[in-house]
Amino acid sequence: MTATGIGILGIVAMLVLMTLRVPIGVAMGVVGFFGFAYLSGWQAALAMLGLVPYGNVASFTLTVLPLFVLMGHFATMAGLSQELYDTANRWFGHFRGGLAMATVVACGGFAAISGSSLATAATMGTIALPEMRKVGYDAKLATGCVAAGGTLGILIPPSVMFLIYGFLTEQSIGKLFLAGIAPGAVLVALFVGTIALVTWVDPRLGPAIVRTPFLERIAALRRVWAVAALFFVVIGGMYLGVFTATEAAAVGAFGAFLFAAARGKVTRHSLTEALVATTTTTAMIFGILIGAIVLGYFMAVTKVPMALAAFFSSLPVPATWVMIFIIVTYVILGGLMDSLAMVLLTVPIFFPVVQALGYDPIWFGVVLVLLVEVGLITPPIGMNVFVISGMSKDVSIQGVFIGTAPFLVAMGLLLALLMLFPDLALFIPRTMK
Amino acid sequence: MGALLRGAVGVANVLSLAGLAAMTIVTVTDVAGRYLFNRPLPGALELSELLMVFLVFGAFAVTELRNGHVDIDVVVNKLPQRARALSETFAATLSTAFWGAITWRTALHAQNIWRAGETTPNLGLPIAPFVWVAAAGTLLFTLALVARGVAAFQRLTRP
Repeated sequence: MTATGIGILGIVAMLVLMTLRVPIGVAMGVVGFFGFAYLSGWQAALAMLGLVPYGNVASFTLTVLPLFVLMGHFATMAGLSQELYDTANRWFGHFRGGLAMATVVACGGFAAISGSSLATAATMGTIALPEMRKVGYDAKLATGCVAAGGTLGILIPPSVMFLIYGFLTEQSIGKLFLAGIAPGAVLVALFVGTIALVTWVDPRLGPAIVRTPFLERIAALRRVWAVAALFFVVIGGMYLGVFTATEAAAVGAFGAFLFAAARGKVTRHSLTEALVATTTTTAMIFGILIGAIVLGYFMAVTKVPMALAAFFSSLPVPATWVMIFIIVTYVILGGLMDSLAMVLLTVPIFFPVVQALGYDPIWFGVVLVLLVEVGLITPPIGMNVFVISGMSKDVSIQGVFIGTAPFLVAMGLLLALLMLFPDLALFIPRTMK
Repeated sequence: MGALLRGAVGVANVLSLAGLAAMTIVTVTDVAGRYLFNRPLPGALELSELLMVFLVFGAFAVTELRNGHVDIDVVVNKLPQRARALSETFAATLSTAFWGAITWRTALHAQNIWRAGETTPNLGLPIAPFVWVAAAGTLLFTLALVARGVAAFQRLTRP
C-alpha cells in the first residue's frame, strides 16, 4: 500500500475511534503514533512521543492562549456582560424582537473581550434568557439568538480559534485578529436584521418592551466604558505594536481583574473559579492539540496534504469552485465534529491547497472561523446549542437547533460577502505595519 | 487509593493555578517594566514557558476528573447500557495506554536532558526538573484514566 493509502486508512480508523467515544485527542494521537511508527519506524515514533508534549507546552507561542481565556473569565467575574446587556436593552428593547437584538449586540460586545464562543454563549445566556422569557419571548427565538450570537466570540477578537489557526499556519495573530473585526461587526448587523425579519413575519415571537428615553440611553453608554477600554488597550495595543499578542492578553487579563476588584466582585471563590475554568480549558485544548500534533507527524510522512494540494491545483476548474468544495466540506464536518478537533485536523490538510490556489491566508482564516461558527450551531453536534439547551430546561435540543436556523442564513450571507469582497476582512489588517 | 489520587490531583491543581497566576503577573511586570521603568524583566519569556509546564501538565488530571476532555458521545449514548459500558471501558483503556506511553517517554526524555545538563538560555535554569514535572502531570492523568477505566469495567461486569 502507498503511504497516501495508509494515510487515508488512518483517517478512517481515527473517525471510527471517535465515534466509539475515545477522547478525540487520544483518537488522533493513537492513529498518528501507529501510522508514524509503521512508516518511519518504532524508534522514531517513540522518540516523537517523548518530545511532542513537553516541547509544545513549554513553548512561548501558545502562552497567549490561557491568558486570553483568563481575560474572558475575569470579564465575566467583573459583571461586564451584565452591563453590556443592560445598555443594549435600553437601545434596542422597544423594537419588536428588541431583547433578542440586544442579546446579539451584547454578544458582539462580549466577544470583543472574550476569545471563546462557548463562554460568550454561556455568559450571555445566563443573563439574557431569563429576561427574554420574562416578557414572553418565543423559546426558540430566545435560545436560538443566544446560541448564534455566542458564536461571535471567535470572530470578533480576541479569538482562541484565530490563535490556533495562526499557530498551525504561522500567520500573524495581530493581523488575524484585526481581520475579524469588520466581518464580526457585519455579522452582528446581519443577526439584528434576521431578528427584525422573523419578528416582522410573526410579531408574537418577540414583543417590544417600554422605550427608554433618549438621554437615559446616552447615559447608559457610559456603563460599557470598561469593555471599550479593555478592547482598545488589548486590540489597539497589538495594532500599534505596543504589545505582542501574549503581552496584550496578560494586560487584558490583569485589566479585567482590576475591574472585577474595583466592583468588589473578587472573592476567594470567584477567583478560584475563574482560574480553574481557565486551566481546565487550557488542558482540554492541549489534550487535543498534542494528539493533533502527533497525527500531524504521521500525515506529513503520508504526504496526503501535498497530494491533495497537487490534485486540487491541477483540476481544470476555477479556484472558486475548489474553495466552494472546501467550504461545503467544512459545513458537513462542522455538523459532525468538535470545532477544535475539526480545525486541528483539517487545517494542515487544506491549508496547502488554499495556498496553492493563491488565496490570502489571513482571508482564509476569517472564512474558516466563520465556518467553525456555523459548525457550532448545526446538528448533530453543535456545542453552542448544547450549552444553551442545557441552560433552558423547557426547550429541547431540536428546538434550539430550529431557533438558530434563521441565523445560519445570515452567516451564509456573510460568507458570500467575504467571497465577493475579500477586502471586507483584509482592509483593516492591511493598514497594520 | 482513591483518596490518595484525589489528594495528588488537588496538589497538581494548585500548582496549575499558581502557574497561571504567576504567568499573568510575570508578563504584566515585564510590560510595565519596559514601558514605565525602561527595565524589562530579564528572562520573562523563558519564565512564561516554564510556568506553562505547571499550568498545563498540572491541569490534565483535574480536567479528567471533571470530565473536561472532549469526546463524541451522540452515537454511543443511543446504545444500550451494556454496550455503552463496553465502549467506555475500551475508550478508557486506549486513553490509559496512550497517556501511559507519553508518561514513559517523557520521563526518559527528562533523564536524557538531566544527563546532558541542559539549561535555559537566559536564566541558566536546569530544564530537566521541569520535564519531570511534565512526566508527573501525565502520570497523574494516566492514573485518573485508570480509575475511569475500572469504574466503566465494573459497570460492564455488574449483573
